[in-house]
Amino acid sequence: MRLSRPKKHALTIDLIPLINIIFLLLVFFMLAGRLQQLDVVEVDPPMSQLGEERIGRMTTIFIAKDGTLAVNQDEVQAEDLPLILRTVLEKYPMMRITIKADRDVASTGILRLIKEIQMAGGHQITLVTQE
Amino acid sequence: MLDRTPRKAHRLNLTPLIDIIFLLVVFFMVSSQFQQEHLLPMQLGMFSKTENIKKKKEDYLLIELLSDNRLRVKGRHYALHDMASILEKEKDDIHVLITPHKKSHLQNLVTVIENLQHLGVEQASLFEQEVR
Repeated sequence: MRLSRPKKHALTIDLIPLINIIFLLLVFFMLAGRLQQLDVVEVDPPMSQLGEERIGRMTTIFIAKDGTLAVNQDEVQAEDLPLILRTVLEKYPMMRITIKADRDVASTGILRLIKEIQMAGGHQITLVTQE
Repeated sequence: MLDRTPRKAHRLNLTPLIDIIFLLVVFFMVSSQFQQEHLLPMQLGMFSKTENIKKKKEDYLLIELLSDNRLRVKGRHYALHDMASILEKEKDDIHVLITPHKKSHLQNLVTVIENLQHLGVEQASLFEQEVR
């Protein structure tokens, strides 16, 4: 006796729900995320609940865990920093100087940097923190 | 009368569309940043000479931030989060001076500033110890 095989159906996967979900994910990441330029050196800022939102133009000084210095997108040497600061602050006296330093950097180094910024004429000095 | 050409069942090929959307999703997943960064104003006054402090010693409270995550106030050691017990015997309008030691981490300094602000201290200054 020969058993009759069940008829093969032409299986087609309905892709519309998949596309719906992917579109939802796309919209979520587009709206919830914030695109930002990668920092020139890797920095893990200190955690804090304090602080204001980042608004407006600013010059950012990066200090990595190993002490590497960078101003905006360029790596600099420590001895060049006072001249760079003076040049920036002579051109834009109200420029906000932001220090983005690693949480493991020595506090005394940050104090010396603040002093240097103040000596170069900087009044608005802020430190980057993260929640 | 013209004969109509027989209609074929057209199926739109969705695979390239899905490919592109997947690429976009991956792009936004990788390049988006969800962590919020804030700016903490460092407009605290700084003293560069110890003479400035010695003039009115009783008006100031010197908090030393040690390298082993502890605080030293008037010769006694406190834990980093023990700010409330440090300040409980002090006047409300006390001017707090924070001086970090050489190897203390920035995170500890930020924590001290944060604790002081939470406790309502209005006058606080950062002070760098002179190298002797």
